[in-house]
Amino acid sequence: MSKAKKKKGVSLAAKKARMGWVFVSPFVVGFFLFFIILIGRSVGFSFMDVTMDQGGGYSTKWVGTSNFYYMLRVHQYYTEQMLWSVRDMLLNLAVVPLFSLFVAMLLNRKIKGRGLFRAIFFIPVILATGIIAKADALNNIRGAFSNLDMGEITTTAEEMSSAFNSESLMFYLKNVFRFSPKIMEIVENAISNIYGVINDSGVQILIFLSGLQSISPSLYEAAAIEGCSKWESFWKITVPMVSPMILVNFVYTIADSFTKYNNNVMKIIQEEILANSYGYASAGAWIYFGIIAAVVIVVMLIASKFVFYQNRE
Amino acid sequence: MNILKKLRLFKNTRKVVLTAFQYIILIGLCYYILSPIFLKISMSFMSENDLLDKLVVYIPRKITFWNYKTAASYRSYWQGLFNTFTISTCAGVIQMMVCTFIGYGLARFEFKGKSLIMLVVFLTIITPPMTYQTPMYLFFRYFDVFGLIKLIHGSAINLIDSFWPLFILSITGFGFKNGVYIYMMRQYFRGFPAELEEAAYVDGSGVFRTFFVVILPNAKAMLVTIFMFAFAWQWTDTLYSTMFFSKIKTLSNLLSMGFEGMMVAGRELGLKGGQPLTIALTGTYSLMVIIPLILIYIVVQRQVTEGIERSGIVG
Repeated sequence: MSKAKKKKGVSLAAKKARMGWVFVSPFVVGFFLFFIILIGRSVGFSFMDVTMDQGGGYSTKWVGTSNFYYMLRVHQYYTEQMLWSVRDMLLNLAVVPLFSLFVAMLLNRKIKGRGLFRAIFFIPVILATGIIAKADALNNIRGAFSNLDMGEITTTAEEMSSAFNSESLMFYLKNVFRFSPKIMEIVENAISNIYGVINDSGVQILIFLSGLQSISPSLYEAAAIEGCSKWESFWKITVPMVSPMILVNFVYTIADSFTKYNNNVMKIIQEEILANSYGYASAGAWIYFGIIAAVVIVVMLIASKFVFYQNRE
Repeated sequence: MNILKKLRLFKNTRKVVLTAFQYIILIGLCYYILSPIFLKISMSFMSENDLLDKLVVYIPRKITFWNYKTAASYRSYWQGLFNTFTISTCAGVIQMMVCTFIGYGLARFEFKGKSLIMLVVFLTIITPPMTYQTPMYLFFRYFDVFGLIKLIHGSAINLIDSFWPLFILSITGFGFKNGVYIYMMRQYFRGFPAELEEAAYVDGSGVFRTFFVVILPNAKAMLVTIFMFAFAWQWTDTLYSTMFFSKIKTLSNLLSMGFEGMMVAGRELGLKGGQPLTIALTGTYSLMVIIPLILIYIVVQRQVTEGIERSGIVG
């Protein structure tokens, strides 16, 4: 009797496990069908000298780690640009999630014209692939060659953002409040780059917004009845409830930095691809990947300590 | 009594100040987002003369629709719109479903190898697309599944310039930024109350039935969010579009082709023949690319809010 019962219990767990596999099966199929092949080839390329053949196809020659050596030590810009882009990414990681949580909370309040504001804040999401910026940049390059004076027309996003006069504000912050220079530098970067920050935060704002909307209002009501102030309920309700989304946003901010149109590492790699040196391109991409992966692991380890899940057993 | 009145006055003033403050911030941020677009809008109505005239900055002397007409006909806008709409809708729906499926599986079931799959999802997120760009192109250019197709068909088939590469990538959850969607869905479902499903299971509902009848309707807001991401990014994607569609006209490809060689009438104004003055055309075309997206978003956004308010989710 007890044996049969036990058997049934095991089969139920096995059944659930099987259902889990069914749910993730598309991903597993894709993984074995091509992803592992693509990654394998790409890793292989980074150790090889790849030449394209005339009739299609390609031939490879094993060259060991010389591609990596070339990218790190010989290439004129690669190492420098990579360090800059990692630094930019870390800075974004500090500023973007904070800013987007702030904006998402503003957009979540019941104010007039909320729909309109949300529609406007969706524009950076559309532009996140950088298509418009790419088209504009293309035009600016062409414009530069033609030596045409077009007056105010070529005002770019960067020029727009400098309309914010940060210098005087910085002066006061530095001399009156005596903030530490390191923090000041981050703040200064964020302010002078506010256009970039807004454009980088589009998706994160939307993610936070959907997180905020899934918080039951009854939680806040109960807290208010118990005498909880707005400030307290922010820290005790809002932050824990959106903390999974904070983690998502960290990861997203990192991933987003690759596909940005002004990512110079990607530009260098693209140039190598266009020059048919696939070996160099792969090696460069994999070095970059290694550093990103290290950063992500550290961020995840730190952040996952603070994440709250409703169903944690 | 007097104190009460003062207190009320103080509270009212505080409320007004706070509201004003939040409007100022929101409007200021909106200005930053919109100003480049406004510039494009005002430029899109300018004639060549206005573009070269230094005195004209925002308001054209004479409003012209030449830019719209030329951009639409020169870079076959309507055909591009149709293709892009079809591709984006299909990709959006498929990716939304597949990523929800995978995300739910990762969030709710315990099985061996789950953490390994999670790791792979992470790898797909943090792998720069450039690493596998070339192999991916070659893979779909000479498409073959474990040598099977070569056996039947005689040679590997070329899937470039068809919808197949995108379809295959979408249905397996490896499309553009799909790792992020999977991860978002997984995080969302982990924070989702388990009581709903447990109740359904107790009532004798199977796993799939529970998923489609109980889970999906409650996750509507997140589903629409994912759909909107997938749709909008497929719409504006240049990475996969340039890789897979060199003959199929999509808006993103048409836009990146640019308008070089147009507006040659500048000769009369003292410019050399053929000198590029295409910024207005590119700007106009950019507007024409993003306006349908914004319209769709406004419609969908209302549905999201309604859906949330009606179902009163989730505690």
